Amino acid sequence: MRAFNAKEPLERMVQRIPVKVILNARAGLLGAAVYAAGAGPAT
Amino acid sequence: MVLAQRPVPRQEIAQRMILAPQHVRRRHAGEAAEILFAQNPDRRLLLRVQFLGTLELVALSRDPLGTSAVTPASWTIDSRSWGGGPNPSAPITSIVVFALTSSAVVPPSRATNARASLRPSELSFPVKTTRCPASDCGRSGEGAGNQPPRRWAEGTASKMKDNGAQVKSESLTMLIAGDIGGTKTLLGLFERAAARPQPIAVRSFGTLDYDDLTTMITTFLDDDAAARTATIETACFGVAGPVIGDSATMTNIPWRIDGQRVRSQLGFRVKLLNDLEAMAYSIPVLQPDEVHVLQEGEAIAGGNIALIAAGTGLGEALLHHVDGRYIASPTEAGHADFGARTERELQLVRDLTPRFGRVDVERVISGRGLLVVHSFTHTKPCEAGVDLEDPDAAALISRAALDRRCPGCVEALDLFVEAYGAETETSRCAAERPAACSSAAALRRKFCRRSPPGRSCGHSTPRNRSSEWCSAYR
Repeated sequence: MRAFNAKEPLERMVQRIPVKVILNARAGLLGAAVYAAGAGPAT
Repeated sequence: MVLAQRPVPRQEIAQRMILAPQHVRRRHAGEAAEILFAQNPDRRLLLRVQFLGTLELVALSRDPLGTSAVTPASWTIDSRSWGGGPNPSAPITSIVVFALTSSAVVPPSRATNARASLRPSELSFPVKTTRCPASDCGRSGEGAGNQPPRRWAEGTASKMKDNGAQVKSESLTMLIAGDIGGTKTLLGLFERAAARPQPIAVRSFGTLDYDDLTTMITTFLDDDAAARTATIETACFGVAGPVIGDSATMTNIPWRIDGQRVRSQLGFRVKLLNDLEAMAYSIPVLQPDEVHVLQEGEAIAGGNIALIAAGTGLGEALLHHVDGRYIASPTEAGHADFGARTERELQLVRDLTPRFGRVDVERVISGRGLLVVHSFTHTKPCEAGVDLEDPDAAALISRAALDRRCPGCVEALDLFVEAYGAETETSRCAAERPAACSSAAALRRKFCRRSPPGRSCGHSTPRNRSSEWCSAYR
């Protein structure tokens, strides 16, 4: 997070950005399923 | 070709099989027999049907002298005994059918009811749709044979026990999802659900163990019991490489995926996404216990989300919040030039440039990148004895660093993590009004950066592995 936040002159703004780690190892698969279920842009 | 692969009462076999072409609209499998489509180069197709606990070989046949304009009346049934099955003494019926087309690609063993998604207009014979009295699906008005299938329709189906009795109806209209990486590929069969799609079956494949995606999908469908009995409505695959139009070229392996070809071979709708683009779509449906908060921050309502994920390579994507929904935007930002921030990182760039011609971000921040950094930080043999040829070398380096067994490994991991954090913020900068910048741990972080088409080709240095993709935007 130190490297993430070390962005002067925007450091204070960057520190307010939520940062999360995705623990679901199958997030890519789930996302593809979400898209297949109709979450993507209508085409 | 139309076939059934579902338990059917014995007395209904002939009728069901003959009527099968007339029921092409019935993808919900509410009937005793479910309809399949396949193509066979030998103009002949056999499928197994489980019937009253006995394996039945069932197919249909038509007059081989007939033309492509086949009518149901021209179909004939050829019944014969067939040995084998759980009960060899039980009578077994086979009905042989000649295919209506000679352009075939799908061998019989690969036939699944996914092919039932073909529309009547795609058949080479007249189709008259009738209502099946055995159906309990409650759907009506399906006689419009020229009506296209519902795009995202959710079908229901009745399963039948081996004794022919119908069991509780449940949805058998499934989705196939895939996460196609440079090392491994996950394929999953999903069922629609209100909150998010629910996995029915998931299997991991070694990507290079297969010649192409179609072969892998076919193996998945053939081997999984749930997949064999499901009607596949649509499929979506996240691909580790740029997706242009309806095709994708894998960045790190010699695979090229043609969505149109996969669609024509398997018979259901296929959509290709960049792998990070696909991953981005999971974020809105992730549960709190599926994420770990690194920085609480203050989420901005209506903000965008940046993603970064280091795996075999480095993927980045952006999730735009547009009119109340999120739209993912893929990038190939992992192939942007690596921006050194410290003297040590400058030394790294100086060391790597002669070796690779150009140092892109992925060259440092990825599983393979950690190996490269490891070689940079080791002027003498690794004290932890990490073998860079080991398939798990990246994990071994991380473990050695965390255990402080080798100063070179510790520095390698420090450089890697620092660069990762800096790149995550860099990607965040591309997202206006960011709400969150998600990461997916050591080698699976998320971030996003808007891809700058056109600008990515403006470098005087060759873009190496992404040069082909860049040229498409010139």
